[in-house]
Amino acid sequence: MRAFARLRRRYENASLQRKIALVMAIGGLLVTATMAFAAYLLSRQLIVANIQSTLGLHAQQKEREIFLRVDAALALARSLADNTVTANALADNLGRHTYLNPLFRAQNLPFPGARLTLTDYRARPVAGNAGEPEQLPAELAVLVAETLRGGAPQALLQMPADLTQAAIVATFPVIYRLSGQAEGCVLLEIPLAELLPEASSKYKYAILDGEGRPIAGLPSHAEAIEAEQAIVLPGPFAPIHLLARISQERGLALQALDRLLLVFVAISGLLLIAVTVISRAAARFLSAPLSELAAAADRISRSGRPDAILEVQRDDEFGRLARGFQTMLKRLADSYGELECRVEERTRALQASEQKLSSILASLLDAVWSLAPDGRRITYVSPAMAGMTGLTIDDFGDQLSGFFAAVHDDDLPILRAAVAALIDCQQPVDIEFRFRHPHKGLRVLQCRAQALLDEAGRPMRFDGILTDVTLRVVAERRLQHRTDQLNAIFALSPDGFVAFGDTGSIEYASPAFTEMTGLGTPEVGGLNEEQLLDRLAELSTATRTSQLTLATLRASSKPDERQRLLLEIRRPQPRTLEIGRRWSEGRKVSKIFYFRDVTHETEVDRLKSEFLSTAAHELRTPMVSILGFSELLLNDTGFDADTERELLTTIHRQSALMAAIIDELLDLARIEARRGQDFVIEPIDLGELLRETCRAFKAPEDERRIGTELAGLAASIHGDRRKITQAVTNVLSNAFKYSPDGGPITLALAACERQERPGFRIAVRDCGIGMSAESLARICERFFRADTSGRILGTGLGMSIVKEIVELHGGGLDISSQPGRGTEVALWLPENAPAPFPIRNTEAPSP
Amino acid sequence: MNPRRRKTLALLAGALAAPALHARTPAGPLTVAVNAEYGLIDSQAAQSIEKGVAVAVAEINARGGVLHGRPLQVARRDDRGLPARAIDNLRELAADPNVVAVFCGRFSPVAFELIPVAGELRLPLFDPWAAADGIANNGHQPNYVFRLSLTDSWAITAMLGHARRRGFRRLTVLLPNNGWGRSSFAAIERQTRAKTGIVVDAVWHNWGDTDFSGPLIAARQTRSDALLLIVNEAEGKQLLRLIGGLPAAERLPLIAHWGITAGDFNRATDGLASRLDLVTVQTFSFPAVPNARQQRLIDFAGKLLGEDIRKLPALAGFAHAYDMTHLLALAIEQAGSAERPAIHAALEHLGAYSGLVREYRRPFRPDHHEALSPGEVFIARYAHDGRLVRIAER
Repeated sequence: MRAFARLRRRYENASLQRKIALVMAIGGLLVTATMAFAAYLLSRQLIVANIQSTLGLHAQQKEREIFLRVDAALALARSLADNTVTANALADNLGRHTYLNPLFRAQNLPFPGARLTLTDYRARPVAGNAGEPEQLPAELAVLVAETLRGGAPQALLQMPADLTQAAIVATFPVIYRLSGQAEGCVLLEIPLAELLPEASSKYKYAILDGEGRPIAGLPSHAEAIEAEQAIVLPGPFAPIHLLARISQERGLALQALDRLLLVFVAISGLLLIAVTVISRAAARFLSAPLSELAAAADRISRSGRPDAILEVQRDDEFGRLARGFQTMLKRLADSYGELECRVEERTRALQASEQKLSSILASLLDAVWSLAPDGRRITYVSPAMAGMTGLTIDDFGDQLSGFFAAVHDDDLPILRAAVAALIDCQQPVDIEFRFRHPHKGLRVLQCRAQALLDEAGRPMRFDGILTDVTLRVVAERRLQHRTDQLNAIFALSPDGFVAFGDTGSIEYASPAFTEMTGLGTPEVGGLNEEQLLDRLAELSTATRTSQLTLATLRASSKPDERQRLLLEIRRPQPRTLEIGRRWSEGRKVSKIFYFRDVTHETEVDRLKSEFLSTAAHELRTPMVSILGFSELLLNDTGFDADTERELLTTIHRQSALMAAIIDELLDLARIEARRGQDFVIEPIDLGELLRETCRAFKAPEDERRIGTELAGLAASIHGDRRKITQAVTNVLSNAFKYSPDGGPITLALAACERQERPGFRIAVRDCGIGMSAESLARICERFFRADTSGRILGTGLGMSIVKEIVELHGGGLDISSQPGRGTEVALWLPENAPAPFPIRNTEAPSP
Repeated sequence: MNPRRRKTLALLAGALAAPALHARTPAGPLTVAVNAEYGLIDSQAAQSIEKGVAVAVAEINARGGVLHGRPLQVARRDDRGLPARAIDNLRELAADPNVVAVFCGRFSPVAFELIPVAGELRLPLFDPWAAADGIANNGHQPNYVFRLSLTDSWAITAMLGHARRRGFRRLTVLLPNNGWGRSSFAAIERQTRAKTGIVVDAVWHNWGDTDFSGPLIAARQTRSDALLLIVNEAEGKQLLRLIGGLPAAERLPLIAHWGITAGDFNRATDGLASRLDLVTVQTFSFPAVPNARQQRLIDFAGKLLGEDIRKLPALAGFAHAYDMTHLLALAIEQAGSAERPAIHAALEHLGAYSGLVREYRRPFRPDHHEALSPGEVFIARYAHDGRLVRIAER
């Protein structure tokens, strides 16, 4: 390397003339050598290809010769096998030596070393062409056996350890005509060496097996040109794959070419000398003007003044170069003066700009800072920094540790991560954090920063602004608090409303409104009042009330606020809404619609009216009798004593009925009003309670006894003894009343779970008139009577009371009935009555 | 014999042997093996030989077996007419000490090869068919080969005698290129030298040859009066078809050795054997009216084999094997042992025996292992039903 560097230095310091001469000489050498080398290679390749082609043809010719000779040998062997003399000889052991051996010896095989042998059926040699035949090797005995078994010629490539004995062997079966079967075999063995022609001084021949290993002939020279040809063998030998290789020594083949190369090298050397001489003269001629130019440049550099004068005598490239050089010097002098003026002017402008920037930074409330490219130290802070953070540039410390020490602990990790992302990944920073000011306490600062990158994308520095946003954050938090409060109020308010903005379109719909109507802010947002009313009209029923309400709202921009506007809607579920409208003086909200769900109140009103009507009717019926008979008695005194007593009995009975109705109504009202709060809950033995009830129960004018199935069941529950007794009594009473034609009445008690709750089932069965499915559905309605004939007395309130009592105990009622077959009423009561007692969603009207 | 029939035979033999077994608790059955050319096309000689052995064995077992109750049983080996296989089979059979004798098949070249092996193994080898001269009296000592069959000399004598009686002066003989051919040719040469007046030209062929136009052309060129055929049925069939295709005037009379009679030759030649002028040599045929003993055999064998043995192809093989098996039983009894050398010695010293083929005064002697004589040889021709019928000679 050092020698190369020295050569290179010498070349660089050499004159142009030397350089040109050297380059031309080297160029000439390279061209000559390349041409010579290429010509040599090409010639060599052509010669080798030519020899290979010749060898290939030669190999093909030899291969054909081998084929024909082997075919002739096979024909002889086959004819021997087919010859009746051979088959005859197999049956003529004693006499065959006189004719068989001569016959075999007479065969004129095309291979002098080839052997013909006749064997018997056990591969024992019988005769041969080469004296007394020897015992066959095992490999050939197997081949003979295969031949006899298959009755067809076989062949193999015999390769003993001594490869000089390698041979191809073919066998032909000898068919014994008397039996028509193969009873002997003719073997033809041709040593592979016999296949090859004799080696000449020029060529060497060899035979290779199918895998390319030489098995006969002479090995090639170490450096040889070779050609190989597959040997196609005739007849049974066909499956044997052999290659014939013919080779010629490479050195011998290329001897002439190597001599030619020596001559060529000598001629090239002479040519190179001539090229060197010519190139030196050419270099001298070419470099003369440049030498003059170089001398002029030397003069200018020594004097320092671009005023050297070149004598331009030529008009070629060198002449133009000299003139250009002169012009360039002149322009250089001019440009230099102009440049000095510009630098002075720019310097002044820069100073002014710096002053202006300093002034702006000093007046800024935000603090400006710069961080070094390594991100470790602050290089600049604006004057506002001290006021905002109480830190000077020196207080920031290495890796901003002084600054980070004052950051609130909760915000520090986020800030550090943002600064790290800025420094490592050049991600811009925009973050707010809490900062402990030494005098002002906890402040909220906003930091925005970004990296300033050079052309290669590397950070030159990081610039940022720090802003005190404490006041803004406080204001935002207050606003958020207020907003949350309002949202909670609106969300919790049962009344819904929609608010219209100053443009007259809806800007807000409360959750309650959405719940009532199924319309949320997305659906109604942006609608004006008319459109809202259209949407409400789509939801509403066609009742007169709804139509009147919508018409009123459309007609009057400011209706009477005392008027109650009700709207009945069908979707999302039937409701009755009360709608109000209020105008606002505020700038953001022009008016609101408010909606109150009055479905329940409306239903209560309706039920009250219905109940009053029914109760009045029920009370009026006995009252009419009382009034009529009492008037009769007052106006006519001529009744005999029996008639009079009968009339008074009727009046009494009707009065008792009326009193019973009123009593039961009061009972019912009390139960509903108190919701079970006046129940006296205590442990009750249900078995005992039912036995007492049965004993105390006495149906008027009915002697039947109640059959009980109370078994020894420990049925203890918590409940109101009196109310449960009343409920059971009502059911028993009905059982007697509604089985006027007799039949057993049974009271049964059994433990029974209902909805996985333990409890007891009290069942009362009769075999009375029963009920239709329609009547069964209405049995618990007030004043409903299953008997429409009027023969069975009753108020129609008993089962309502039973139902209330059972349900207030947390139990249930199961009634099954078939007309004409009887009825079973089952009261299910839980072991533990719930406390407090459940309160129904819909309030029943007070009687 | 089919497997079912052989099974029946074994059962029968076993059942008949049972009382004797109870009486003296002898050792197991003795085996008589047939090592012959079962697998050949158109040849039934091996099968007929086995049937002859089987019927005789059944008779012997019915009498209580040999050696006080040891039953005989039959084993078979197929040599396919090849000496190599026959030798291997013989060695295998000899390894079983219960095998007392082995019958060879019809082929003389095979029998020739077995001669030294049988002597080496000391296993009596019975030849019920192969006719080459040197088989039985072969010069080996000890000689374990016994023949109850034709010899080529006797056959050639009969064939040439027939030719002479018909006035034939010049003959062409077709010979196989093997021991049989050479044995026959030697016999022809001997006899033609001795009895001048007949000239015989030999034409050789190989087993398996199919083209016999050469011998016919040779016969015509030499103006032969007749053809002597030393051929088997395969070659005979080809030859007869060739001659059958000639005009009647050009058809030469045919005098055949009995190689052609090993199968149903008349059917194999589609009746040409009975239509052409063809005669052959035989040693046995049932007379038109069997005597009482023959009738008993016919009935017994009929029950055993389920067929009429008079219609068996290669009937001579049956008869020879039948007689030889009975001679073997006699020899075993005479030896009083199942040891093969003892049986061999007994065979050479058997007394008179009245057989199916002939009355044997002394079947074998130590120096003469031929049980038959030229007197049993006669000329026969094929009847239309395929049976060989003895023809009356003047």
